[in-house]
Amino acid sequence: MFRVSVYVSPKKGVADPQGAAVERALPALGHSGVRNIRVGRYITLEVEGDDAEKVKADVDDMCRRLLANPIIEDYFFEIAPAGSESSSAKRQPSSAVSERSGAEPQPREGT
Amino acid sequence: MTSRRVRFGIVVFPGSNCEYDTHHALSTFSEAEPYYLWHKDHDLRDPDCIVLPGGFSYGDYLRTGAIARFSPIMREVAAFASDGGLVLGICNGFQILTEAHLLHGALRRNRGLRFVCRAQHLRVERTDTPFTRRLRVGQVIQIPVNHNEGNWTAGVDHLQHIEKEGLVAFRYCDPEGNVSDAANPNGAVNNVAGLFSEGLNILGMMPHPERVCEAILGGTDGRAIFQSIIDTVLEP
Repeated sequence: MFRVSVYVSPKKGVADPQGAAVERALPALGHSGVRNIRVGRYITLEVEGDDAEKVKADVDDMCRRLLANPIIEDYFFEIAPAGSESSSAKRQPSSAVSERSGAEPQPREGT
Repeated sequence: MTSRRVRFGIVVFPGSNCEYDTHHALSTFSEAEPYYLWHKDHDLRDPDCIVLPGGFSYGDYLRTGAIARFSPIMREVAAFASDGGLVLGICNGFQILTEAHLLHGALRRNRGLRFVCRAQHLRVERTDTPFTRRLRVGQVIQIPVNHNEGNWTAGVDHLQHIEKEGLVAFRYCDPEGNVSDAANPNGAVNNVAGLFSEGLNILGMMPHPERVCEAILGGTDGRAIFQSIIDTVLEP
């Protein structure tokens, strides 16, 4: 069993209306100098299996076909054996396997 | 002349809410025979045109249309479309068609995060298609929009291809037909309001033509789209 954390965010160069709205709201709270806010999605799941490579391939398929829309979103995920830590949501990026999407070149933040 | 009627299969997903409007609008055409399909059906029952109606399929969870795309019936809809069958996606139906990769691009939250519900002018971009043959290029029609995720976008390469191939069906415009940012209700790239597939047999559009099919409801500009489909089937 593996615990998986999937992070989905708007692709670079794709306008992010939510991020823009949050960015406009922060100065009202007295936080100035904040830029490039991107609002994404954090998904956790548990996947049965013993083979980390197979789980990685499965999760990548899930991400490409449903959890993210690769046309407008990037994703990456981390997997760690379940039970390696208590069931709390504590992340262990150091020991986790991390996979990142974006084999294709990113469009440049444009003018 | 035979009395053949044009069969419109309207797919109902959990959370669809424009299927009755669509059925009612089609029932005002003497040549149309609308009927409902449930998203778990496997048999499309010999349609001439499949309509994916507006609404909030699966509560818009994850992304609009993302889960409906995997409904059992979508496999049949994709096969029907790949054989050249006519498919019309309205609002949430458009979102489902992009998620299913039957149409280019994706639909994001509206610019300004504002739900828009208003009458909207559209400029007709192309009329040599099964959905628009009753219209004129450059004609301005008025069809209401009612959505939160109508902000269409596509990658730069796709966008160039889409424009080069003339796959844009309608653009948001002002009453005079000027395609401007001020007339854009949601931030859609190039003011795209409706889009054809490569084969021109699929149309996705954010505005709701089924809501302007009777004068008593405020307009009749939507009729030209349904009439075009009927003409295409009866007089190909």
